[in-house]
Amino acid sequence: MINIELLLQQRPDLFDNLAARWHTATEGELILLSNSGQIIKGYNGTHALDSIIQQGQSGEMYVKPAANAIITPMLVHGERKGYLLSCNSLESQLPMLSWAADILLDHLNSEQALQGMTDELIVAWDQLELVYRITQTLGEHSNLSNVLHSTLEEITKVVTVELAFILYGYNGRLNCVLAGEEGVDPAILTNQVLLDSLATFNQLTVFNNREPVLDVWPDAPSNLYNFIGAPIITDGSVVVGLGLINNHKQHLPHDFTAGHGKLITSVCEQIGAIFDYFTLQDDLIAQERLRRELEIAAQIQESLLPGKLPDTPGLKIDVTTLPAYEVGGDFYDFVENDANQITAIIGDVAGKGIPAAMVTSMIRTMLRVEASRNQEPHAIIQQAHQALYEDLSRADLFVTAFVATLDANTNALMYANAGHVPAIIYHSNAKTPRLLKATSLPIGVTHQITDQVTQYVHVSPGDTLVIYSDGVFEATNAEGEQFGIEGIQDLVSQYADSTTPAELKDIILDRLSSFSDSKSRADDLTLAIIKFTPQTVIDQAARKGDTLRTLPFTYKADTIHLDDICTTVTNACRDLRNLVDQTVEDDFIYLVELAMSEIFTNIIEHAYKNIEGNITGSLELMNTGIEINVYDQGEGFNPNAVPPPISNPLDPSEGGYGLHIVRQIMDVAHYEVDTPLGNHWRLIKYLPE
Amino acid sequence: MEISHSSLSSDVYLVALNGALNARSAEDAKQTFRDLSNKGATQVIVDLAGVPFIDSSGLAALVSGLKTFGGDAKNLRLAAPQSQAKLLFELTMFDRVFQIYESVSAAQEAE
Repeated sequence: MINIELLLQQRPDLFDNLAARWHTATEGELILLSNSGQIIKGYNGTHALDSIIQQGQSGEMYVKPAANAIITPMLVHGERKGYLLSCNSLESQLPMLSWAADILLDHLNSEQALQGMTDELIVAWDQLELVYRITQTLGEHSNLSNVLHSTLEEITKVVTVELAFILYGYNGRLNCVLAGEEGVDPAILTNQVLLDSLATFNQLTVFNNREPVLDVWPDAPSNLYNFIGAPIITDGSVVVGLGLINNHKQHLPHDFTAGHGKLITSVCEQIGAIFDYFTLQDDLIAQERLRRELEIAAQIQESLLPGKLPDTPGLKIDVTTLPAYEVGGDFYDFVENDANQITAIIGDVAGKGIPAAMVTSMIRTMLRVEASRNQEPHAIIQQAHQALYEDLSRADLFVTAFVATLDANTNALMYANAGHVPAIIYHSNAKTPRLLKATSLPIGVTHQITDQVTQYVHVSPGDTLVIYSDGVFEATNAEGEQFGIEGIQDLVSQYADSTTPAELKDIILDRLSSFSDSKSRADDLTLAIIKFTPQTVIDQAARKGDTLRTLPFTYKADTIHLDDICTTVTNACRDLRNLVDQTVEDDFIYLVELAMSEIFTNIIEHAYKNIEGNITGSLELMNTGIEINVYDQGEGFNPNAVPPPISNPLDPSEGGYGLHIVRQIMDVAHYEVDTPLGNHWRLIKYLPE
Repeated sequence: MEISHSSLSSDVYLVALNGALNARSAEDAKQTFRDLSNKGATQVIVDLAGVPFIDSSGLAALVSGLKTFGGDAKNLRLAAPQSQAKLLFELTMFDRVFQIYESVSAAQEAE
């Protein structure tokens, strides 16, 4: 709607020019009047208006008779906006005056149109400038909430508004950034219902009174005056809404207009872009952080692994650890207790990245310290558990560990298994692999670890211990099948006798990589192989040394003669003392006695099954030791069929040790069934060189 | 083998073995442990001072005795083993299963 008064305040020249030309042409004086006859412009004070015009019954103004003046209404679409009066004019000049009024209105209309266009240009310019400044803020601030805050401050400068806020939900958290009115508690704006409403708006919505606002924002402040709400479109992961509020300050006359709407809509697009920028950046930073973390974890892990393998006579060792793409917590360690004894530790910290690597370093150090103080595997695990339980449970981590102490001198293996995958002991004589399963829960799971204690396994030279992490048997093929513990057991059974630990390790790794379909492992893979090897290889068929004296014997197969047999052996060994130029230790005699006692008992109980029979043979005293040949005519058997017992000290096995002891203590213990003289045991024990 | 026993208190007995503990004597030793348990013994101290020789059958008798008294090493204590017995215990790792004392009095005094 045209406002003549306002337009002429801005463009007084439009009237002034017309009045000047009118005066030149007609000598008349132009005066612009309002509808009620008040002077708007042009009066120079020379005429008394009261004597010239008066108001008629219907309210319209007309000129009094003989006033020497003419008047015409200013009509816009039939609506009167005022009057144009000319003093010193003749009635005949009225058509010209009406034409002059039209001209003035045309000018004013054009002016108004021009001003409208200018306003739009200004809005567009404001919009551009605002968007520009918003994009500038991106460069000035590195954090999202600062950028948003600057953006809101720009908005409140351009749109006269008391309070502007951006509400967004990200990663399950609701955040509010606001600018404007001091002392507003963001808590009233940080409102999930409001955000949900804003986000579901199709477009910006303008409210110019409080009532309809309550539909979208039931908790709107009681003094809310008007409100613009808008959704902000992002690429998905963030839900964002923008709000502009005027509260109680009624003296701010501005209702929000369509122009504000346009401006805010384009600003919302920018804010959406800001969110996308930050979420993308967040993702990139998170990726980079993870990559770096994995790198550090891998470095920590690598630095933890022992630099070289122990060189223990009687044990051959090889180990490999292959970290997965995502670094896990596999670790291994070997502690050399003395010349012939080591403690092997293989463990897996449940968890990934730096926390797991830190715990790995902690637990590995702890186990190492304990292993150097104590050779009892369960005690090692228990000590580490006691020291670390609090830390582990706080970090919500636990550790599985297989700890084994191997003694190459006594051919003994002790182990404890805290929730780790079963290790495999392959008995070369029996050609049998056996699983060494968990003896307790993992370290850090429950307050006390008091399950089974250390288990004892009797081994023989040639036996192989295979310890690994779950990454080994969990390798899966394209069909989703796991390689499985059986897969490893099969390979161990097939190759352990004919290979060195390094070769066996390579075979297992080769099979694993051809079995597994994926290029990157999901888990670490650690594989340790320890083989008990004879410290001096003795040919079981041959013998070294010359016979100095042969002492034949014949006994009834009855335990009643066991004492006599021991006496015979003792006496023979005493003779040997005199025959060789070397001391024969008591331990040597004990061991030969023990072997004879075991063989005789075995023949009585198993070959003759406690039925009458003879045991014959000879003791041969040699310059290098003693050879014993024992014959029976009872039932033959396969001495390799039964592997030695795994003893649980809490429930030890009563039997099954006999033949194993013989193998353990004699240099040669060879058995053959159905020789011309019967079943034949051939035992040799050499004197120490 | 000679086996004798005497009571140290109402439920603690001292079992003295004399001779080789092997397949021949193992059953007697086992029976002795069972008899004492039936008589109300809850704890025995086995005096091995007179045992010059033990083999795996003898070891089995001691393990059987251990189980007769509940499987707790405190309840079947071994005292004064000779060097051959010590060697066997070490070989079989039973030195870690049994509580072994240098003398009967040390076994008696231990917790």
